[in-house]
Amino acid sequence: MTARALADRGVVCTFYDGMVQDELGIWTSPGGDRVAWFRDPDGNTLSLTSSATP
Amino acid sequence: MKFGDLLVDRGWPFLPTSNWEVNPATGSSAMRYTLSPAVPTGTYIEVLPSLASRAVLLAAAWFQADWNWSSSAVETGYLIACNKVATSAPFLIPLMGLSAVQGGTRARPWYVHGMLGEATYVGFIPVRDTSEARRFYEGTLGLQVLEDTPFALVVEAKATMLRITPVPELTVQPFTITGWHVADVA
Repeated sequence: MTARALADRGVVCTFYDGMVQDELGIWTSPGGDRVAWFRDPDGNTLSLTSSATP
Repeated sequence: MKFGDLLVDRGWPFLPTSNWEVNPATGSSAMRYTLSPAVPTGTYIEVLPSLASRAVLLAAAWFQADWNWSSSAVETGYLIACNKVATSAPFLIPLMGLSAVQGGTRARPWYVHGMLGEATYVGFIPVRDTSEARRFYEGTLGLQVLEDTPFALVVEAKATMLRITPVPELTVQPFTITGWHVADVA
């Protein structure tokens, strides 16, 4: 599952003040890992992570 | 941690002779071992504090030259060279852990397992209403439902399970409570 797939299913990733995130909400860490956050219906914050080097 | 918390694999050819002590050479927790008569050379184990949460004990056997065992390890009865394993051959650590999980198809007297380092992790997510949560976790995220009871909505989470648990009062936290590692976030 990707941030785009989430968006297609109506799940908007969470944006945070002060963090540089792309249009999908993906933040790239200094090491190159990428993270996107989204919330479940209760508001719990969940994340998707992918490594810089798979 | 104490010795009683640990399981010594059947392959170990030696017997513990002490409770946890401080290895004077490294300052970390260690146990002294006495070899069984079947083993001609010294074998010692030591907990690496940085891995204590995984409860993976490093162990060593046979004092092979390429592991560069210190003679003082033999004399003091502590494995002081295990830190060299951690720094120079870190790939050995997961291998040792995996050996413990698999139980070993042959005698591999070079690891100890115990506590929760090799146990299967179970995740928990608190929700107010599991039926609403099911629409999201099953319907939107595509997680297979294993069980749906008043106690929990249990979904498959690749080799483990995620228990989505109804709670009477949910205080939603502003930080990430769980996540998935995917091939590509984008």
